[in-house]
Amino acid sequence: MTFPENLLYSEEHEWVEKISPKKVRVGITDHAQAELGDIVFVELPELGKEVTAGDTLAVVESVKSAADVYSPVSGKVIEVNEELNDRPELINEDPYGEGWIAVIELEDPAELENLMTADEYKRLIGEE
Amino acid sequence: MARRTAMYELHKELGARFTEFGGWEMPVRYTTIKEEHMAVRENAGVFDLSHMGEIRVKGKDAVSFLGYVLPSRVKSVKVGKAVYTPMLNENAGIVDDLIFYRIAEDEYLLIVNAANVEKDFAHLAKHAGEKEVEIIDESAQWSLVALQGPKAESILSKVVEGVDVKEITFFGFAFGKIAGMDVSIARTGYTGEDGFEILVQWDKGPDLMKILLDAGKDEGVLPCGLGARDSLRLEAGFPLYGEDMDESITPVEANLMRFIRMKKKDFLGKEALQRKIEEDPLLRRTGIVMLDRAIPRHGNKIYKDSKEIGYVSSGTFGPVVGAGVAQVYIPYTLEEGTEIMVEIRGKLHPAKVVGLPIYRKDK
Repeated sequence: MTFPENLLYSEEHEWVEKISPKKVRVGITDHAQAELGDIVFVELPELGKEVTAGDTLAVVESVKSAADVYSPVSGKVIEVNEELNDRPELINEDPYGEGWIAVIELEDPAELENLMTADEYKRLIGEE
Repeated sequence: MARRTAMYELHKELGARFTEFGGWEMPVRYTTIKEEHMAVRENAGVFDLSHMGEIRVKGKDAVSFLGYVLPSRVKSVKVGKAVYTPMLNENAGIVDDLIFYRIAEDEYLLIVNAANVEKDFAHLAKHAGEKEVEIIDESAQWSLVALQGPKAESILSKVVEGVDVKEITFFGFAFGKIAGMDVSIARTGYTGEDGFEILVQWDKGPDLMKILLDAGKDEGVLPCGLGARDSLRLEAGFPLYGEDMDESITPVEANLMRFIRMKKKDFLGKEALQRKIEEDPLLRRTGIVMLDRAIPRHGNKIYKDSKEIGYVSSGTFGPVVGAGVAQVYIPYTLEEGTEIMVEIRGKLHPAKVVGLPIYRKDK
């Protein structure tokens, strides 16, 4: 299982990648996708949706159940990964790359300080 | 605390992820549900079903007692044959659904749902009254292992002694030996594929499961969890007790009347069932397939022309169908092919009525 050093992580198993001072890309971690199993449907957020950290951003469904993806940050959804409509399995195959879920324009970049480093996240899930 | 079967340690060795079901800690999957589902449709899969209950009914009045307490054929069932039937209460509500084997002229073995063992036992005991029958809960004595899939027969033939597996007909059973262990082999299942359900002494369960996995390893056999069991039975149109039916539902709504023998002089719940038939309830269990990628789940509401018309009783992703599939209760007047809408998390998603089974090899 991998947890790239350049990403930040939430307790709810989302990852956050800074792609500019005010924009982040988010998705779910390798650990989360493994726990869920085969992902067969992703309900993506609508473009322009305003979210507060902790709000439901998306829903990922495995064969067995549906799981909420909580937004790790507050801001506005400015891009969604439409590819997941046709290939939800990208989240299993490449959770940090092609399996990204959305890009959020940050309301307050200081919020990123609440997130965990890769090492802290690994400790949380007992991967260390 | 949830109970564990004799195979718990083996499941862990095989890499299982566990879930609680009917008071038991059971494997939900070892690899992925899709992979295990497809193994059963294309090759074979091995399931631990030891959480299920076994209740033996025997004695001079066993035939007349079960003939009354079960609405199916009982007396005319030949020794060596098995029957699937719902069990009803006075109101024709479904107490449980089960398979029984006729072991001898005056002896039957009932295989019941894990969560219902105590309820069923009490129900049987209550209605036994003055009858000369022994009702014995043997659930702790038996491990139950299912081998399901098109290659089940050839795999099982390699390891069984004392009986020709090919001679066991659909819903027949026979006694034999596997690696010296006494087993009872029934040609039954819950997947929509050919296959067998094998009873063995409780502590022999892990050996039996290992032998079956080993015998099938060149034929693509996989250990399968309850996740695949659920998606397989859903596609095959089999109802799940507690989701698709309970005591508030009769076989009329549950679409199970073909298992009921209304011609029998009397059985528990017959009068109420007769009334229900005359009442002609509108909502009946049937199958749907989603037309987009959404996954229907238990409790989702169903709409047609903006009007609420029914509900989803169980749903999942159907790996063979390649879309969400569900068993639902909707008006039986809706023909196959009718488009309906399923409300999932506040949004309406299109689906199509397909009837049951949702998936069949030749459908």
